[in-house]
Amino acid sequence: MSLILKRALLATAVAGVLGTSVPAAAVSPGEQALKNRAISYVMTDSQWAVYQTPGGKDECPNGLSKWGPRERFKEMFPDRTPGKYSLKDTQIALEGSIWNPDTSPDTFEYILAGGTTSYGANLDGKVGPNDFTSPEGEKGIDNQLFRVIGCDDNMRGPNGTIYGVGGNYVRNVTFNRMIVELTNVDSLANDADVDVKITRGLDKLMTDSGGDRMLPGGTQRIDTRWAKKFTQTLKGKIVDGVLRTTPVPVLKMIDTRNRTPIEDLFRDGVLVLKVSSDYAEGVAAGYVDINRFYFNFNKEFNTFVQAYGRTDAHGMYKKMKELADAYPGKDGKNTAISGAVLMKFAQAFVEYPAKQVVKDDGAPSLKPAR
Amino acid sequence: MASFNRRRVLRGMLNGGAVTVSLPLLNCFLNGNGTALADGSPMPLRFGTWFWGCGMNARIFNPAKTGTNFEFPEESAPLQKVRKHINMFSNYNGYRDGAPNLCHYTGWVITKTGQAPDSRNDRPASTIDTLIARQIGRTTRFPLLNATATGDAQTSFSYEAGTLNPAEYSPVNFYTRLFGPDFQDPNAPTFTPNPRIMARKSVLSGVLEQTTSLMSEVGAEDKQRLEQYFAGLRSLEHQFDLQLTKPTPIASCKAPSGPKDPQAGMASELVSARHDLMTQLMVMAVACDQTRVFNMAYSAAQAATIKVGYEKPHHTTTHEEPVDDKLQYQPVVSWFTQRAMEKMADFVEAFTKIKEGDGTLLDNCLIYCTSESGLARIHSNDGIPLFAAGRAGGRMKTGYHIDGKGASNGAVGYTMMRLMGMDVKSFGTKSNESSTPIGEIVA
Amino acid sequence: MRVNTKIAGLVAALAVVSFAAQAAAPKKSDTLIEDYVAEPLPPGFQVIVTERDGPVFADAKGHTLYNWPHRGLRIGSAGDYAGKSACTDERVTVTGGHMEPYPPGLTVPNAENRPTCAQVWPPALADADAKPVGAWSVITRDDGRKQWAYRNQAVYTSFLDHGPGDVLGTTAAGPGGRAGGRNVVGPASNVPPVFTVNSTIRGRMLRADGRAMVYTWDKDQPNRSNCTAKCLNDWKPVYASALAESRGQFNVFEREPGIRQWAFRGRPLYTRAQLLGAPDLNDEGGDVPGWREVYVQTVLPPPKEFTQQDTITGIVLADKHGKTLYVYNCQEDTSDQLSCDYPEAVQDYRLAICGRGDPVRCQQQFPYVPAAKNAKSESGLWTVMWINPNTGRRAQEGQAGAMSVWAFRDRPVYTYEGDLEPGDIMGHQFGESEGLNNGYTAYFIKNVFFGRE
Repeated sequence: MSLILKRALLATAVAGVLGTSVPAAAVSPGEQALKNRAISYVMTDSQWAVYQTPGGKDECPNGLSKWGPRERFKEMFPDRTPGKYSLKDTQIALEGSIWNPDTSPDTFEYILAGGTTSYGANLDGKVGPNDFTSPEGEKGIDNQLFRVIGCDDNMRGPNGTIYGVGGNYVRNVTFNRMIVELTNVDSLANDADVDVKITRGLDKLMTDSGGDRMLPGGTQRIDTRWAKKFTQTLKGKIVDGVLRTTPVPVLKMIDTRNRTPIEDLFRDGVLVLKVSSDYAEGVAAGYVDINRFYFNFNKEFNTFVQAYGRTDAHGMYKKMKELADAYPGKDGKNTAISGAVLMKFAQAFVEYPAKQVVKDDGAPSLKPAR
Repeated sequence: MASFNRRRVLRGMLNGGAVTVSLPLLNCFLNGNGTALADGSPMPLRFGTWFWGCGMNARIFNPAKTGTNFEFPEESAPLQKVRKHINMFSNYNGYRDGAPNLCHYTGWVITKTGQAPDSRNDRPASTIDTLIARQIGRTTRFPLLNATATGDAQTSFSYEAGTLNPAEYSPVNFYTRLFGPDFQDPNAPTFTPNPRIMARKSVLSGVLEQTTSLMSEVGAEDKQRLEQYFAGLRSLEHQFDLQLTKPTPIASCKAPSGPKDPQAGMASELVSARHDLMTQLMVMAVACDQTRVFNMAYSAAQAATIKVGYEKPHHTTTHEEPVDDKLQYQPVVSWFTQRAMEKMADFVEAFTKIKEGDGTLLDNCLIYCTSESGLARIHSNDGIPLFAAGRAGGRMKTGYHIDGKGASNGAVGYTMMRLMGMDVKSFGTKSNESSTPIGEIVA
Repeated sequence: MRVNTKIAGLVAALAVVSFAAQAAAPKKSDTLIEDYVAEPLPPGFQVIVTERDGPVFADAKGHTLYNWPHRGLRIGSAGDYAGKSACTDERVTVTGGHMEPYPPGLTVPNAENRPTCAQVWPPALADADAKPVGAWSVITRDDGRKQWAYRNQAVYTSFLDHGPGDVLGTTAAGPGGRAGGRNVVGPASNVPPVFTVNSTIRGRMLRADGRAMVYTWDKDQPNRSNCTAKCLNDWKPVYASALAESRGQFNVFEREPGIRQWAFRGRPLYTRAQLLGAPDLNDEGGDVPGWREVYVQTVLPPPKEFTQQDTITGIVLADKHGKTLYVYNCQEDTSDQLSCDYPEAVQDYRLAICGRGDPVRCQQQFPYVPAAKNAKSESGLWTVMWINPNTGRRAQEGQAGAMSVWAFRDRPVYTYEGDLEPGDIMGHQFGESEGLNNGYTAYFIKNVFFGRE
């Protein structure tokens, strides 16, 4: 029997006992879970953090991305006479440079985002000249990746293709069923010591009929096999309803926005989530491995998808390397760039796979086990 | 009429092969006032669908007013000429109930089945046309006819028990199928109907004697209708003949050895031309009761129609074209939508040109016109545009704009089923399950 | 017409298991060959049972037959309409612009020497007086020659196939190129109507009702199901209707009075009663001990030195060091949709992606998988070939710089320098269009999260 039905019957039974027709106050699924000092959330939305003002006036005063693959090609090779150009010198050459990028200068203008506000976290504990202020007023926000992607039309909501279609995939594809499990929780308002486990579920999200509004109270069976790499344990604390985890050397994230199995890496990664008994939302932030981000992005999004919003992949790599702000490589140049992902979660119950017990009839018994 | 069989077809031989010419519902087959068949059975009721891809922009597509007193805005303005024959349903949504939003797929599957698919391989239930065909398609030569103007047999939005019904993509093939032999006998001597011969000599020449006899037996009005029908058929054949014998420019100067279809390609004008040919054939097939269930797809879900001089096809344009600052919509996308609406209007109008009984063929039809998304740019399943054309044998009133206010489009599907006389309790499942017809349009 | 069945390249003995799953050791006396529905064939044509694609039609020389059904592309379309052949002797030298956003009209590499469609896919020609046979008909090509068609689709051989049993032109499933929408053509599997058979990386997999995977249980006896009571919560017998009749290797038995169930070679068949998780998961109950997926025919094991590795989305085949193996896929954007994924094809596409034109960089980024020159694999799908790593072309033993490498379906396989630990798949979908038009994809034995479509 589902928990929701149980709850409804309980309320009815209580009302019956009291001799009233007024239903007893409902207990939310999350509140129910907290009675065991634990609560879990399943990811329902994930977007690379792009702070937007109406019309992009603040962050993109020079407009949005201009040189997508179609525009670049047309500019470089304007003659449409059949046979005028060779594929090798044009299309294949461009594709080769996408998949083997370098930092040589680009003649095409790349629009960087500006402004003073960005989502993210203060990763280095400082307030520097290139830092942003969060929408909530926190200073020292490190998010140079926002500068690179902030004026990319594909990445901006609500109509950006990667924003919209990619967002759909985050919900549709079970690969993305990231779970954040909190244990040792005394209060979602303030708690100095909370255990955080990141893993992955295997079930559909629970939604309303339209399919877009996520509901708490669903169940997620935990993937204990394929998600081994993603399963991480962190420490955190909750202050005024915001969970902040202690930075870890590498925070692994799964968030494919297409049909590519993606694993992003956040160095000095943190989760900063506003938590409640039904939902959580906030950011995962850290120093994003540039190569990992760049190649994942291109694997996820074909050239024609990039063309939809004039994403300039050639410029993207160069700008990421230029603005990289951490983890120098052997050549002394930084390999990671501060960044963040905006995330939303709904409360969910987690179920670990059963231990196989052979019964008399020889059939496996699937008793839930932790 | 003893010389004519129950199916009202003329059969003959042409150049050694069999040909078939079905007849429209002549007055001599009907009762005295043309409201039923001569034997008392009701006039056959037909169900059709018409489809276009990539939806519309509600801001400039949906009329501001509801009821009968409304104006079509610019994007749906081409429908004005068939306004009195159609009903428009706006703000009806396709609900997914947690199923994924599969771009350019979920929307039409929900609209046509009332169920959301779980994956692109998933074809839940059966589409509404096949459900209706099970009931009314059993007595006709073809239970269902499926055609497209795209030139691609896979452009079909009709499936049954998980199997897609491929579409007739070639007007020449379609013509051959409708007017060729009734069936292919696998044991017969090799004969493949040669459409070139059929078109050049006209299938009518294969049934000349019967035609002459028929013309001498029918009344003046029927004679006039037959002349109109035969003239229309001959005109089509003439077009095919021209297409079939026109040399195709080939550098090696080899003469084509076989018949070729009207020019392939996705330029809007070519799609329009194919659509017109397919429409004429389909109307003939329906009028002659070769089928009572028919589907026409103007474009694919990811519509690939091209505007000559513009480098991106329709679907790509929905994603790449920026919203015009002044117009507040995508102007080229709107251009594509208007072309689609023009052809939808043409399709509906074509059925009004055939006289049947005391009215027209359209009066005995119900044509459900749909798309696969609302705003294609964001693959929205909200407000998927829907229309119903015809009078369904007098069961449906027309000329209405109905605002669904966010209800499931299963309500429209259910209404279609009930108008077709299907005794069903509901249409669709979960949030799309509907069991109440839209009363405003029920006569 | 005489139906001549040949079995090519199969070593005896596999039980009804996947080589990747927990399995009893195969018995050498068993032979598992897919049963098919015989039908009349044109003179000389035959059916050859191939290792991964099951029974296929082949011409008199044993060359596998393929078709190329017409289909819509992103822009435009390609392929054969029913009763016609679009695969001609015309040399296509420019792109068709079918894949956005690049325009048509770009001269393809090596244009003047580019093979024609009919050279890569020689039409299965028919004699001038050939007569239709069963589902086979004769169509007339544009040049007047006659060609065989099966169910109205023109058929071809592939110039990549060397002999009987080769299916190198295209592949129905698993890693390997899409060959522009071409398919292998073969007879129907001899399975009851409730079942279908699909090619997978591990063999010819049985499914029920179009989608559901089918299983057997080790604890059943021949034609006796022990799955009762609680077992039925998780496993659903594939029931047979009252009128169902045993057929081929499938039989019906009564599990209870009046309740009939299908069995394959006497092993009762089941589907999962409910999905393990969300519908998009590649739900394979073969992970449950004692339960095995059903194949009507399995492929033979890959080279012994290879390993299997768990990844974030399933199981991949890897080299002896645990590095994931990759295949290279390539499809030209031309009206004839020819592949460019084999050593004899132009290498410009691959060299651009893996090294920006630099073969040395290519070998660093996607190195070949070295093989001992005499190495053998049980499976005919895996061979050792000599390759010139600087050109990507097939080489001869002894030629300067030539190396012996592992090949899958006569195409080299690779590892990726970015894979640092066993189970890494960082090279998966590296390249254009998720690695399928010009790029690399991992050799998945099972892709749990992205394997359904």
